[in-house]
Amino acid sequence: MIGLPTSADFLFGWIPQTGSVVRTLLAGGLPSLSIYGVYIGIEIILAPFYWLWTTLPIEHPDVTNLVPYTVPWFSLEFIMKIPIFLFDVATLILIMRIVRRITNSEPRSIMAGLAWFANPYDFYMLYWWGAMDIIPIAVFLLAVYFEVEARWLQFGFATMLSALLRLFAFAAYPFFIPLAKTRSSVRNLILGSAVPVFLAIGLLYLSHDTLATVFNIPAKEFWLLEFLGFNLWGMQFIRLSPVLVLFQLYVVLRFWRSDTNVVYLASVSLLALLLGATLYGGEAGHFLWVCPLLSACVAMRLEDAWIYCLTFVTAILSPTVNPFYNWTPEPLIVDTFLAGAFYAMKAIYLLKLNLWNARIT
Amino acid sequence: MLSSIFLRNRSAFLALVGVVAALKLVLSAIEPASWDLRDIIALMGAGNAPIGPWIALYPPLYNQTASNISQLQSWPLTASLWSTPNIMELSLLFRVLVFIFDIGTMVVLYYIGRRLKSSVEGRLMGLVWFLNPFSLFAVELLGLPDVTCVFLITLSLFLLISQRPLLSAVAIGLGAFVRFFPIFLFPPLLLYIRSNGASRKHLAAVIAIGLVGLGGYLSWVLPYGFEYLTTPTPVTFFLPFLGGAQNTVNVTTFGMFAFYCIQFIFMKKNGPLPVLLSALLAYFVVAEPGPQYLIWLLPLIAVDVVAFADKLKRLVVLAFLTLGFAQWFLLSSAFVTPSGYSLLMFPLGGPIVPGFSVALGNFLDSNLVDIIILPLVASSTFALLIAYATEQMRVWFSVPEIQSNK
Repeated sequence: MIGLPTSADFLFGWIPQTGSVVRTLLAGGLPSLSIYGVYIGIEIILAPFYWLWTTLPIEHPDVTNLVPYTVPWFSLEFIMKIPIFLFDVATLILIMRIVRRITNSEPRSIMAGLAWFANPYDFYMLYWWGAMDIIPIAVFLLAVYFEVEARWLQFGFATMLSALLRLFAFAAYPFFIPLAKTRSSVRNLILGSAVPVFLAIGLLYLSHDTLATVFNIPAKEFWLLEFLGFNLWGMQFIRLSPVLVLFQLYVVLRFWRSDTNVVYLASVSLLALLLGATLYGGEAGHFLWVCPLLSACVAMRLEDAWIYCLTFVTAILSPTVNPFYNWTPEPLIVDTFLAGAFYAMKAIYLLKLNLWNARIT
Repeated sequence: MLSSIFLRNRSAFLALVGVVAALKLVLSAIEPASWDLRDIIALMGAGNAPIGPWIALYPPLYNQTASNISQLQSWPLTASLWSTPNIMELSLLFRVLVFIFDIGTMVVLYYIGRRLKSSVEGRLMGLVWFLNPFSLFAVELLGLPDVTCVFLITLSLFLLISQRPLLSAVAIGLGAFVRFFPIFLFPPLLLYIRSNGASRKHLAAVIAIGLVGLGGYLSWVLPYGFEYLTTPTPVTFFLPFLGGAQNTVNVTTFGMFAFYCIQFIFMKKNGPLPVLLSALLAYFVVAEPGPQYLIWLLPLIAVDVVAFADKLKRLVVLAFLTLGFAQWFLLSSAFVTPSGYSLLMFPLGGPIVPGFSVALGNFLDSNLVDIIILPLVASSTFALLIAYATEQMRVWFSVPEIQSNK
């Protein structure tokens, strides 16, 4: 599958900077946050694959001007999809293990794996679109797996590592804290979380950046602010996304059963973030974050599989994903309808997850 | 524990209150004038005297001339604090009235706590209000005249708990006479009185008192046209029910109407606190007046957290007040005053400012605050406000709270 040609735009968007990271590393330097921006972690993970391409006995033209459907173009595309495939398989294995551990059921574990691996939406996003989000997603799933195994140190480490690679896991972190119910688990969770932070700060200074670089990120990469969502009250600075995430946390603490599992907690935290982050149905890659978790959810609760199916049908048809979008006669007329349907299904899924886990009083 | 000594020992409690009161008075004398105090003088200078009932409440306070504005603005930036006694006198004069209402609110809270639980809870409720940074900054330092209404609302709760609904309505009516927001408490008050078996005559009397309060407010506001109703001033709060784009739904009007209807449909027989507190919280959610006005809620919150809250609710309140204070700090540029001094007593402007003030000023002006920290803090405060409002509305469906142990 990874040999199929892609839409190329997104996948190839990663390559010039990754190439630059490789050159910096080969020269004995450390790539800096101020130059490469917030995706530096993912680019470092991609660097060996790009380097592999540079060692192939073929012509290596400038990657910003690659001619499509030539040998360098095909080979680069194939090699840059290898990490996607590897992390996709890792995600599959982790989902199956998580569901098997929670449900003690092999068939449900297989069902969860299929819901992820054979899902047309995931397939499209990974192998056609080239969403590198799968790398931090797999790390996040690893964190979830560690929680299920009650390995708190590793749980904290993997959650924070995922958050440093892509900020989604930051939204889930407060939801995970109440899972640590003993003093030692809290201590290990905090310790594990602190390690990647201190490592990142160390690397920051080694690459001649400072904490001021981190604080300047929102000014430099303004698109990050879209995660805050739209302004609710004009000049009052109240943004939708933090309101939804924090209120969801309150709902969990007040109304949920205390024996709920980490999959449901991670799912609602990310769904709340996705609902708040953008009004218009969400960016194409963002929904991918919650897909493996929803695959686990559907396997744990088969009677509501229709919500899962309908959510993914609307996801595929949503304007930022729909591969047939430009084929429709009047895309501008139907896009609001399709985006609205997808947004509604995410909201319904969030509502349903809350109802499944609510305490019966 | 030290805190339990202050709660269990009457003398220790009074000594603590005395020390804090003295500190508040000293701060009232030496703090620079806030924008609110300056604007009250400015309103008078602009010929808007007597600014409703304020002048009648305390003539020495508001019977000042416009020349005081320049004196207040020139609060010495670099001179020693003790070298200008005339400014200190003026500052104290301006703040001592609100201080009296501050003490009064604490006393009423003590009696509410004593009626609901015991003297210990009463003292704790009083201290939650009196030692709270919100009340210190909003009442004494900022000089918000809202504390008169806060006192009257607290008094109305005490009177309701004491089974005196008509006097309670009078207290709220008086509050509405000096500031608009207590009017929101009349519908829930009627609902509460009705659910407790009040006669039609009593209900009619409460409605009449409410209308008198509203009429009193309009009688001193309307002579200045719609100015006081559409623009915020230190003595009035603009009405969020008015205005908005053409052909759109006013969120506050919709929200409050919907809230009252939901309250009418779902609320069973209940104690007075959640009835009043949920109405004020609903107004805060739909109108979002700003963090400094959280003092409207603070005495009722004090009663709730001491007498009725569980661990999670207390956590929500603590987080929401802390974040609200942080939001206020950031929005007001560290409580900056017209003289360039912050109410935290460090200079933020003027010719000679120390390095730490410059650093703080730069931080407050930075993009980081404007585009990340402030939205995160304000949004979190708002989310917790909704959570706390939910907590109050949950009580509607549960067992009625204790009315009184007397």
